[in-house]
Amino acid sequence: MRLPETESRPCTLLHRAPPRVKLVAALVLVTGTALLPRRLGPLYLAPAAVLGGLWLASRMPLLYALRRLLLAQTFILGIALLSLLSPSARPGFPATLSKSNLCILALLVLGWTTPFPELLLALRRLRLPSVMLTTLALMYRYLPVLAEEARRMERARASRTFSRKRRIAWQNLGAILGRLFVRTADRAERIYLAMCARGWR
Amino acid sequence: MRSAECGVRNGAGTKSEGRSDVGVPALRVCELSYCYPQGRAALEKVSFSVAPNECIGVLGPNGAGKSTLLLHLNGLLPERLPKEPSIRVEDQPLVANTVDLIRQRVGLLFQDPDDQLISASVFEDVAFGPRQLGVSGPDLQGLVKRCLGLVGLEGFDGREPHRLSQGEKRRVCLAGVLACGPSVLVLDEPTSGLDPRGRREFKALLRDLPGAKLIATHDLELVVDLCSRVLILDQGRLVAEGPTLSLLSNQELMLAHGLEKPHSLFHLHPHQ
Amino acid sequence: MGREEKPQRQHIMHLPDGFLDAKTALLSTGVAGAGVGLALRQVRTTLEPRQMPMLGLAAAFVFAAQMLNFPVAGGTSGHLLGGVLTAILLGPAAAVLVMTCVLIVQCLVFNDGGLLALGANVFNMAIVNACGGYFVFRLLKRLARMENNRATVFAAGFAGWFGTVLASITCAGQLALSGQSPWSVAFPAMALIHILIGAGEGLATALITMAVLRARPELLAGGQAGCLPHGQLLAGTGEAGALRPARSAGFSRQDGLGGTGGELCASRPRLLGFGLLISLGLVVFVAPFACPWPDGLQAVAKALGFAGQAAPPLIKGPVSEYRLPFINSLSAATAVAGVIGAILAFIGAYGLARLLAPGLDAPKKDAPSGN
Repeated sequence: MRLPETESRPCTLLHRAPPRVKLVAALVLVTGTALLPRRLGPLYLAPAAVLGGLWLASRMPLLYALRRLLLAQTFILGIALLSLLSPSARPGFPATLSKSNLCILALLVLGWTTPFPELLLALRRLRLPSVMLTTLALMYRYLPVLAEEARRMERARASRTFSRKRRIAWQNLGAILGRLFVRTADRAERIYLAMCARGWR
Repeated sequence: MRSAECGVRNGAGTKSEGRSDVGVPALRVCELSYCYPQGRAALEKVSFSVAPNECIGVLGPNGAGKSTLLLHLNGLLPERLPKEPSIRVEDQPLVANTVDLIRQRVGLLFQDPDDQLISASVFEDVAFGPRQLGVSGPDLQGLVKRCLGLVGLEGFDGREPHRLSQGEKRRVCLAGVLACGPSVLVLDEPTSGLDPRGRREFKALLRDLPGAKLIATHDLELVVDLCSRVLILDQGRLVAEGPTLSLLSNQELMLAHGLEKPHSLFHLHPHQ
Repeated sequence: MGREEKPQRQHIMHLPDGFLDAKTALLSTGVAGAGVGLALRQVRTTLEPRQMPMLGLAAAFVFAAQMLNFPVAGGTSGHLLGGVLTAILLGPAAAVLVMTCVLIVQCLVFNDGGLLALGANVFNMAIVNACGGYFVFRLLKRLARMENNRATVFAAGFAGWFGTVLASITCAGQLALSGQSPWSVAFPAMALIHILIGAGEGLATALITMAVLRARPELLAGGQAGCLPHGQLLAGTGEAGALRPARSAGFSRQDGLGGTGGELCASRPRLLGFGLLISLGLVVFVAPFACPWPDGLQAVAKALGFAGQAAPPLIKGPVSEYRLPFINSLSAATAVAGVIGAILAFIGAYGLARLLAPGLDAPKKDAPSGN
């Protein structure tokens, strides 16, 4: 799995804005949108307009945004459909759908204009505890590494798997993830040593 | 506080004649022993010294204790340092209250660059060490740039680690180690996993770095090219020590310890 | 994979924004915040510096594990949630932190899950799922009449199922409290789906736990006692010269772990903290709908704005159960399905432990001395 490619993004005003501001703004936008009444109405135009403007200002590619929004529909619809099943909650369906999508759009703009390391800086300034900051940073750094290891192990297993039985597939997965955890624990120790070797205390 | 000047000194390191230079050795190890928790000996009375600009190769079969030895040189092992030091770096004994100082003087490059490259950007990672030492601001920027330049990665400051090639990652790790200003460089399998070009470039890089170097490796040709002296470890014991050419040409000795005579030496001593 | 890949969203209970109303979001953020705070305090006091990187790496591990496809019936595939697994491997406090970080990254980087809903998601998946499952794990392990390793696998399997179902119930409660969808719809939908999905989660949890037990039982030992595991520091070169130092005596992990489980790091009062939070969540999110409230409490709830917020049919007293048997029977049927599911999960986990775990009885061979 690849982390988002952030190096080739345009350098708009929004990209250059301080990450703390962007994070807080996103939070405000999302909160405001979520608090809208449960009926579709003219009030919904306000966040829609703001987000549309931000979208343009950030030069987020249409395909990029649409693809992610489309993927998001699967789970939004999944939960929203629950309200269709009962007459009392049915009128709220389109409103919920719009709210959800607007909120996702806000997060999309945030993600497009702010690479994760910058978001971490913002979170640090917002006084997120250092244990969590370190965890988030290391997690982000090692996601592709572990995903690659898992993929390699999957391939190696597949090359010696000759049946399509589900039982074998599950056993393989259990073995791979078990092995991945062990290697991850070892890697964590080595990382600790490497950090100490450069003076970390 | 020793200013972290990247270890840059005038004059590139050259292969010395196989004799230790006079004066204070950069690294001296005296009867270093270490036992695994299960009781098996990992290192048994290993003793050697490294002169200030010498490049030494550490060879041996897998399980010989090379990695364990390397971890001792930086004070990462043993977990509780003994009162009687077995290791001296530039005549400073490695004991509990000198660990931090020694750790700065002995730069350890780990085998897997992914274990060492922990930060979100190249700049942050190279800056990791100097930051602990109190360097900041424009000094830090300059230092990072210099170190990246030393390893041939100018302009890589903003790059993200997971987009770099294996060779580039390794060079970033080297820059990060150099940024701490070590006087001794200890490298664990520096050319493993590199393609031939990466290997050539890294070798050239190492050749130009001044200061004492200790390289644990299976890459025998690298040892022939860079190291003036060689240590051979087997089962925790130092079984041989001496000039590279004469030791590595000794086919019998090499085979006895899980190694072999490198091909490049066959034309020199074809009948051994 | 050439192009940028977006991980598929797998978890139905991972709420996006726009579904929860203000009070539910606030309440769940409050409980979640308390839980994370508790976990932070516990981790800070019991974590050794050498275990710090493991938190981040474990988070990456959970994320990577969630990406793998577990084949389910008919060509579809499921995905691991991993909360209970993480708690078994790392202990509940660390698991809370790890799962919280996974959720944060999923929200901010991959746009999975809402920002405001983070509180609810953290509560459901990091606290209810991980800690609730962990309690059941410890309980079952203690009660099981099996030898140690099999008991672990059995307990892991059932706890995986249970944690998933429990989290789905609190999620349904949050949806109902928000007025998003009535309890009589949300509860059966969520619970029934997760009673089924939970089987996969339990199976995966059991299999992975077993694999770790086989390879490095001492890694699990740390988790069982409520601490982070110490990676096995084998000296020598197990993997092509990797630098792994040998461990000096340190604290003995083998002591007090047979059966009764010596409490090396997690003390009882702290575990209780998580239990209290889960109970609180159940009271706030589930009890109003699932249980008839005594009149006094209902009046209080009404005054505070909980009861009567949504349409009247939401909160039913026992009388109406008899009046409209069919509609209520869906919830009742779900409850029955839950009990049946629990029995099946119990039997399944037990059978798995007996069937697949024979290899665990063999004593672990000595550490390899290199190639």
